[in-house]
Amino acid sequence: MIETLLSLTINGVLIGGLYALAALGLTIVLGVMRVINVSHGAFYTLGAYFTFLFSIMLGMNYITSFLLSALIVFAIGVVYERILIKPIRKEELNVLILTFAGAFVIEEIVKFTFGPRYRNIPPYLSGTVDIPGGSVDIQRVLSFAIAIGIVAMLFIILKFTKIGKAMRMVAEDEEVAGTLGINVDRVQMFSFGFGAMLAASAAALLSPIYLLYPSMGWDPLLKAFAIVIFGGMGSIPGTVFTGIIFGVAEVLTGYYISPTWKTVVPFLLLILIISIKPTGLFGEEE
Amino acid sequence: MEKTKVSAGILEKKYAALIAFGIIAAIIPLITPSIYIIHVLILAHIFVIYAASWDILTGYTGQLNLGHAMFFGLSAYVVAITNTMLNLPLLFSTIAGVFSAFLLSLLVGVPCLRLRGPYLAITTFSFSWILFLLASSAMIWLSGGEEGVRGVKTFVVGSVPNYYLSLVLMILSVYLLYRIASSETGLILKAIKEDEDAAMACGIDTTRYKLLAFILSGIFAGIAGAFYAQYMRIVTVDVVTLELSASAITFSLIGGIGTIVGPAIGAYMLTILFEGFSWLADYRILIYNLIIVAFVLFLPGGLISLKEKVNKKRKMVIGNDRK
Repeated sequence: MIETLLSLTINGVLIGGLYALAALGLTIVLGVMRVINVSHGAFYTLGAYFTFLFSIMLGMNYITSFLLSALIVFAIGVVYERILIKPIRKEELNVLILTFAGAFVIEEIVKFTFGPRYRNIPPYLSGTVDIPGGSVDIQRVLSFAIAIGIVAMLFIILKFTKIGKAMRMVAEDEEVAGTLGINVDRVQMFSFGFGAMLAASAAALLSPIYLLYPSMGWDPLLKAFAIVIFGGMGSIPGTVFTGIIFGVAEVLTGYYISPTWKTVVPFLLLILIISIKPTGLFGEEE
Repeated sequence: MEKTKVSAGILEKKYAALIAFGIIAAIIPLITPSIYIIHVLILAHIFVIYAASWDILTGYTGQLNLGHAMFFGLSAYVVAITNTMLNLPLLFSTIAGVFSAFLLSLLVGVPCLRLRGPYLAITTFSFSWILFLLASSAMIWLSGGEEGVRGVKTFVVGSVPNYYLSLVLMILSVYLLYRIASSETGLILKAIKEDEDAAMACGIDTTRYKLLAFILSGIFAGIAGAFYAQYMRIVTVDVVTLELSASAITFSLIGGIGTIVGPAIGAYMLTILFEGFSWLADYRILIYNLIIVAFVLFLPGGLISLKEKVNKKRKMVIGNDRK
């Protein structure tokens, strides 16, 4: 009984770490640019399909495909920001509508390029690890470790590098950052690309677990939304913690209540939290 | 003195356009033999109400609602379920449907009163997403999923009577919303959109007015959803999808956000166009969304802003003449 619970929890944590990774990209864009990027899910889809392209269609190894797809999506994100977002960034609603439509455009392009049918990427690593109450795939453990590694890297970048400090400054106060000689436009362009890259990395790590299809990005997008709001906007520890909570809540609901309810629960939790504390669990009061 | 004359002229023009539309709309069924065209126009009427109801909350009051389909969809489902499973008379089902949309607007509105910007947008999104998940999987025993709830009764039988009913309903709803939007209440809503803190500082009870906007928005979308349920006689997951929520925004954007009339025009035109483009089949969604991107970038004020631009140019020409 306890062992089942433990093994479910471990599984939840492993999945949740990857959700957190997907949500981090969104929270960075929100923090630095103050826009909601609805195309975030589409970048996730692109990340998964580029991984598919390189690893299955072109036969490269998994790590190379992962890195290549992250880099390409980074570049796409940068171009996307420069051409589409920058001219209208001040209008919150317009950015929202544009990225919404943009997500559909990307989805359709993916559909025409790769076809509408389901695709799958076989596990890049086989074998299991024994845990109390069962076992988990080594692949999931490794993916989780990579995700945590990326989060740690992100933390270091934000804390110690020049670009990271500039990002934090812009997030704090755009105008002051501008007067201090920070190139705000460039920082925001970089942040947007970075956010897209995080979505793509999460997708690359999750793609051997879930199926690929052109509209696959909406589910992680909504989860990322919920995680970002729940954890408080702009808070990295909050986002990671919430991602893991969501992963565990999902697995537990799927097992103890019913698999069809597991996708509903995170959103119910979100609404509950937001009714009590409008700035999220870890958000600062305004 | 001169000014009032000018505004009266504009007013007359406006009514003239409305009356002309009314007359044309009224005789369409007499001149077209195609039931399909009538069907598309009925859908257009429904979506006009739906888009205008989104506009009162988001366009006027500035409360970003990304999940407008929840009001439409819940009302449609409640009408269908109470009518077919509980065998309630259609009139009561309709009342129940609209009432449920009203309750949902309170349920969503109250927690959302304290939220701003992205928080609000994502919370409304979440509400509609929950409804979608319930209808498409978790509560499939009630909603019927893709199969839907079938066999809803109708108020009037046949396309043409439904056409006139929907026409009247549309004109009434848009008229009411437009009157509210142009009244003092509308002005206060606009003030909240421009600067909520400033409005509050002026002694406006912003919470009350925001909730009012939520309720109005929910009720009119509920009316549209209830009519849809009795006209289509079947309610499926389509009524709570992301696409439907997105289309409220698209219609309004292309028509002109924050004008009530703009979203109405946008919904009317796009519904017809979207059906008209059905020969494009696979490329339809792509083209549709590319158009939206183009509008956001190049004509964010929507079609209705074209009129102002033309007027401005005309004024400039007159000014030059005087020189």
